Amino acid sequence: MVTAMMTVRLRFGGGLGGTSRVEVTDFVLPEGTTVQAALETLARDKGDEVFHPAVLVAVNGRRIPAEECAARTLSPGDALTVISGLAGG
Amino acid sequence: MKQIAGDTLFIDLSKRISWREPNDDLVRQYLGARGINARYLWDLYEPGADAFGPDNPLIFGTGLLTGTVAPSSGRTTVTCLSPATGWYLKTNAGGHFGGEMKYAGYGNIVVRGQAEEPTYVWIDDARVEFRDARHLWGKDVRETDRALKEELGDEDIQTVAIGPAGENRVMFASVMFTVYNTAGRGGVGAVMGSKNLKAVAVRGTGAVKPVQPARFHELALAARRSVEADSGFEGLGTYGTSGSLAGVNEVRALASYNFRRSHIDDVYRITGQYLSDSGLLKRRVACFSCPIGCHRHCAVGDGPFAGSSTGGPEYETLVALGSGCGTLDARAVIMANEIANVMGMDTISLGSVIQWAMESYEKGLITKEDLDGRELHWGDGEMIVELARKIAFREGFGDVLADGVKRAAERVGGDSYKWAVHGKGLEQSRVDTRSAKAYALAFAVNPRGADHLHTETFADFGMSPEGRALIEKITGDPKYTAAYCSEKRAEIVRWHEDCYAVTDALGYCAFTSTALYGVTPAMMADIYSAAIGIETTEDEIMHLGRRIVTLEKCFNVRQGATRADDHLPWRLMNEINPDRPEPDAINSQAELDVMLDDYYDLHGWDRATSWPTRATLEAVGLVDVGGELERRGKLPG
Repeated sequence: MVTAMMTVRLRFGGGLGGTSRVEVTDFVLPEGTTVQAALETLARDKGDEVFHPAVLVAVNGRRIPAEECAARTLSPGDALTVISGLAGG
Repeated sequence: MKQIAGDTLFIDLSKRISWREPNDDLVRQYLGARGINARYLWDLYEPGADAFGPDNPLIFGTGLLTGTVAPSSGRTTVTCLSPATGWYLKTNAGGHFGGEMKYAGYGNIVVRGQAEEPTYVWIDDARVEFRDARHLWGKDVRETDRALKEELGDEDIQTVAIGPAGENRVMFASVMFTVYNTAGRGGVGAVMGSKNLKAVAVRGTGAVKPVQPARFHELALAARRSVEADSGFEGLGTYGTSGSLAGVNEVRALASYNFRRSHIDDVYRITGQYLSDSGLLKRRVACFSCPIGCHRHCAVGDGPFAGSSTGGPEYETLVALGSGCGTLDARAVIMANEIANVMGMDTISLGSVIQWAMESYEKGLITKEDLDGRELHWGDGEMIVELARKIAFREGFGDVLADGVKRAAERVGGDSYKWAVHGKGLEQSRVDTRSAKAYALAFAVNPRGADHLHTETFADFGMSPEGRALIEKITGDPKYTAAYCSEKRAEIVRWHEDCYAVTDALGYCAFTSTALYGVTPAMMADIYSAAIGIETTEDEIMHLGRRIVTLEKCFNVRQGATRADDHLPWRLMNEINPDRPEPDAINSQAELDVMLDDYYDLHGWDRATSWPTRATLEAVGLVDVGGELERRGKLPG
C-alpha cells in the first residue's frame, strides 16, 4: 500500500538547530501526521532539543501545547513553527 | 527604614527652593517609586491644571530596593499628568540614575513650578543647587550629559535630561536617563521642558541599608539565582528584548505596516539574533544591579547609515521603526533610534506617527506638498530618519506629527482616524492585540493608554514553561495559556496588574517577574519585610499592589474617565487581522465588553461607569480618595 504524502511548511530555527534565522522549508510527511509525529521526525534530524519545554510549537500561528501535540493533525499547506521561544518585549 | 527608603526631595522651580521630608509612612502604604508617586500626584495635582503649567508635578521615584544588591532593582518611575492623553502617566526607566539618587538620600523627587529661564538642578548629596542651563538649551541629550559631567567635574554623576523634543513640547518627548535609558511614554519630556528644566544631575555618596541586612542579602542572592535559573534568562541576555521578535511574529502578533500585517515571512533582519550575527551589536549593557544585561548598544559601519551608534534598539523600536514602517533594514532603525534617543523621543510613538503618515500618504490624505516635495513610501529608511528629525524640531509636517497620532488624524481628517492606532491618545505598543487577548484587555484598561508597560501579560504567549505555569496558577487550568482565547483574561490581567505594581514600586525590572519569572510575589514580600523590618505576606504585598492600581484608576476617574474610555484602536476593533483570517482575529466590542465586565467585577468596580465602589475603596485602604470622589459625584450610587 502506498502512503499518501503531504507537504507542510516548516518554520524552524530562531535559536534551534544552530540557526538563529527562522528557516522556511517544505516538510514532506505522511497524510494525517500529528504534530507529535512531525516533531519526532524532526528530532531525528535536528535533535531532541525540539522537545525542550521552552520551544514554541505552533500551527498556522496558533501555539500547540505539548499535551495537545499528539491529537493535533496536520493538513497539507499548514505552517508548522518550531522555534526557540524567548522572553522579553 | 530611612536608610533604604530615602526622603522625598521637593523642588519648587518657581521659587528656586527645595526641602526634604521623610516618607516612611508612604513606604508602608505604597511601597515606593510608582506607588508613592501615584499618591503624590493624587494629592498635589488639582484637576483642571494645565499639563504644561506649573501645577502639574513631575515626580521621580526610585524603587524601595534601588541601590541594593537585589537583582535588576534599579528602576525609576516618573509620574505626572500626561499632556498627550490628559490622563494619568507613569513611565519607567532603568540605568543607574535611581541608584545614585538613592545614595544621595532620596527615594522620590517632586518637581513643581516653572523656572523663568532654562535651569538644571544639581543634587550633590544633601546640597541642592539651581543652575543656569541657557547654554544647554538646544543641545541634544548626549551633548547635555557630556557638558554636565565636564561642568561639574565628575564623570560619575548620573543625569536625567531632555533633548530638543522636550524643549519643543513634542507630545511624545521622553526623559532620558544618562542618555540611553528612557522614561519614554506619554510626553513626560514635554512636561519637563514646559518647566524649563533641562536636566537633573545627581551624585550620591551615602549608603542604602535594609533594616535586616543579613536576611536581606540572603534573599537578594536567592532572587538572583532564581532569575538566572529561568529558562528565558540566557536568551534575554544574549539577544535582548528583540530576541522575542521571531516568536511574536510566528503567533501573528507582530504589528507591521501600521497593524495591517501581523506576520512577516522573513523577519530575521530586524531580530536580536540578526543584530548579534551581523556584528551590529557592539556590546551588551546592564542596568544597576542587573544580572540579565538585556540592553544593547549597536553601531553601523557601512552603507547609507554608517556612523550611527545608539543604545538599543529594543523589540518595540525594531517593530515601530522597522516592520511597522515596512522596512527590515536594521541599520535604518539604528539611526532613527539614535535620533530618537538624542532628541529625547519615545520610539513607539515616533514609529506610530510615521506609519500613520505613510498610510495617509498612500491613501492620498497627505501629499508631496505637505512633505516639502518629498514622497513617503513604506520602507523608505531615509524618510523615516528625515521625519524623526523634523518631528523633534517641529519642522514642516513634523509639527503635525509631533502632536501625536490622535491629534494628527484630527487635523488631517477624512478616514485617517481609522488607522491612527492609539488608545486614550497614546500610540499603541507594537503587539497586535487581535492575536493576544490578555494584552487587549490590559491595553484597554491601562490608565495611561494602550500600552504594555503597565501590565504585560507575556506569559499568555506560552513561550516558556515558567510562563505557562503562571497562567495555570492564576486560572487553575493550563488550557488558558492561549493568547487567542478571551476567557479568564480578567483574572490574568488583574494578577499581572498587582504584580507589576509591586514590581515597579520596589524598583525591580518587570523582566524579573513578568517576562522571566524568577522573582515571585512571595519573594518580593520577603525581601520587602527584610528591607523595612515589618513582616509582610504575599497576599499583603499584592494587596498593596492593588491599592496602587486602584489609586491610579481613581486619578483618571477624577479626570472624568468612564467605561467608554477603556477601548482599543479603531483598526483593531473593526478590521480582521489579515495574517490570521479567523473569526476571533479581531478585538470586537462584544468580546471586549465581556472581558471588561469580568474585569470590573473582579476589581469591585461598577460595570456601568468603571468607577471603583465605596466598598472597594475601603477594602484597599483608599477611604480618603473615596471621600473626594464622592464630593465630586464620582462614586457609583
